[in-house]
Amino acid sequence: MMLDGILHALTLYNLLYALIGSLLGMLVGILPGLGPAAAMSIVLPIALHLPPEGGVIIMAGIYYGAMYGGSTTAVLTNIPGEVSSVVTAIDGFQMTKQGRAGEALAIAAIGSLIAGILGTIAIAWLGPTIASVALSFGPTEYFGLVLFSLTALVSFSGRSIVLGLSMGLLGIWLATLGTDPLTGAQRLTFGNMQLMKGVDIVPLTVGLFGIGEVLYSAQQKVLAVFEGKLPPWYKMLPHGTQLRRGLAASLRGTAVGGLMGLLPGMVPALTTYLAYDLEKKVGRYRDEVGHGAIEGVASPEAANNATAMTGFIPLLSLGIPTSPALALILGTLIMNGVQPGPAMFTQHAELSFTVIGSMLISNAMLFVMSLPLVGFWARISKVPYSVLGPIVLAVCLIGAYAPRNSMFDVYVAIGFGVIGYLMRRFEWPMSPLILGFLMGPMFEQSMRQSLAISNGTVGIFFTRPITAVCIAAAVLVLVVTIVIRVRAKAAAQFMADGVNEV
Amino acid sequence: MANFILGIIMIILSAASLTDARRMTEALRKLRSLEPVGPDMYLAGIAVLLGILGAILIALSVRKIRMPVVTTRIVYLVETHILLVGALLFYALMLPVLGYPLATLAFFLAAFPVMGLSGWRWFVPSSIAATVVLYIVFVYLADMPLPADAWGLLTRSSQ
Repeated sequence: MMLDGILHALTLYNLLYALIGSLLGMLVGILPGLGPAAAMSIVLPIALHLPPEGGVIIMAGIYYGAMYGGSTTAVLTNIPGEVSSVVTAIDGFQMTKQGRAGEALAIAAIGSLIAGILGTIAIAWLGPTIASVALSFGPTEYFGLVLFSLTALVSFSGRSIVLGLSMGLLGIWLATLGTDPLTGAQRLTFGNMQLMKGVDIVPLTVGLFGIGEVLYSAQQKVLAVFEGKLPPWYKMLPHGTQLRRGLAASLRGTAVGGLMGLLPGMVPALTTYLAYDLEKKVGRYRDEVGHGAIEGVASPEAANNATAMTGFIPLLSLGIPTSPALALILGTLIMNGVQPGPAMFTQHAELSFTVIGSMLISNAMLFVMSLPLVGFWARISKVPYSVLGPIVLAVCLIGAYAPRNSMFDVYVAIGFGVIGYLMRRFEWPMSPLILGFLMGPMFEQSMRQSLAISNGTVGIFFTRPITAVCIAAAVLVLVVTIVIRVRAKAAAQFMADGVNEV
Repeated sequence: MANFILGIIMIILSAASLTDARRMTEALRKLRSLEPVGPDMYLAGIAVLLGILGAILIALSVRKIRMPVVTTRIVYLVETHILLVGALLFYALMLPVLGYPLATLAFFLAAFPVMGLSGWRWFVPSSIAATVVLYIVFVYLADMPLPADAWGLLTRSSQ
């Protein structure tokens, strides 16, 4: 099946989609002020006009392409293009100051490629395995999974668990607007015809991520430009001891990022900190980390790409997104009539393995594009936001209009744009809101169906083993993160910084 | 202060949701729904949780309320954002009147200077170029139906 997937991914159109997604992802990664989720939400309306695999290939390409692109400006100018590259800038910029910028960029690309390949293999192997186990899940098990996912996400997001819970609950509340699919009852519509359709995901995400991001970054200026010279790309590759150290760190970063990426809330920005911390604590050259060690670049870059890849496992096999960007891919699939979940690898086997195959191809494309074109990418970062911002806004509004040809959606997008700006301004976490909105219907449906099965008895959630384990895990995660936040300020800061990851 | 206001908003939403849930209970009674937890009870549950969390947020933030110090820089930044949102609303209002191409051009002519692109020699050609490029991308390449003007002269209508 994997081979078939790769062959389908090698068709002309799918190669084109992979190239477009990868290019857009690199651009987004390099340009500060525009995150992968913002770019994906802007592209979402266009992706809906494409075949399902085309739309997902482009969206996925943007997601992990941004991981590649963010390291370029982080290394060259100490200005990370993405939150997930903040840690890379620490050692990467030191390497630039030591005249080793090429080596840093090369190992970042190599580490990302290793993580991309291993991550793709993990998806192809674990995805169907988990999906086959999940085929036996009923509504009660799904309730437990969604509850654990939302709780874990809330716990890892932002400065305060109360704020995280509030945002998650607001997202679930937003999902209740409109017509109840089971009974046809109208909720919170107050007789308004437009509200009967509920809040659509496109204006919500375009507003929150696209318009909100531009409003927040409106005053941004380019603060630094790389004026140095880079050697030809083939002379950038590290060799000897440096290469061995870099490869070893890449494998460690891949392991950390890959495992953590399976958990809800573990966005690439957080796992890069974990991987970097590991290098500082147990790496053989830990004393050099922070002063231009190649491990300080290789490990976080591998970790962020591995997290991006393995996040697809719960998305495809269970239908549960672990980050806002993956939530957008979930939205793309649902709006194309494809429901991710246990049946994904059987009912949509060709789509699933084509997408997985294209991940390998996109990672190879990104590796090829990142080094030889690094001079070009460095110059791209000079594009002033005063030009980029209005263009993004115009694209956002048309993107909000297009799916339902509705001016109401345009106003909804503007409204959520203002909300998105306020959320960034006051550091209210966005991930719980968007995931609460997307998983709210599954949460409600699974809960109501479970209680219908048990005639209203809540004991059903504690007598089914998987559900009981999920609920216990949710409580444990909540308690542990409260304790950590209270006792360890550094760890609390690391979780708070995740609020900016979109 | 921001969290305090968020808490107030959550309590307002909670009250509105409880009111609507009560209305739904009456309506669903007539339908004789067999669900132990119907859409009304679910909404009521979410509303209660919203109210509780809103109250907690208010309690946690009431000790820390500080009136924001308004400086010239903050006024300038807020003004920029208000102008941008105003430009967006203007764009949305003009779309069904002027149609996509003219409304987009007007938006860029307003938004580029607000974002800091000064000098008409820069922002006028930039506005025209950006409008043309987006028109080609959305209308010809993506084949997306976009708002036509009120007289139906420009752009394929989506109606």
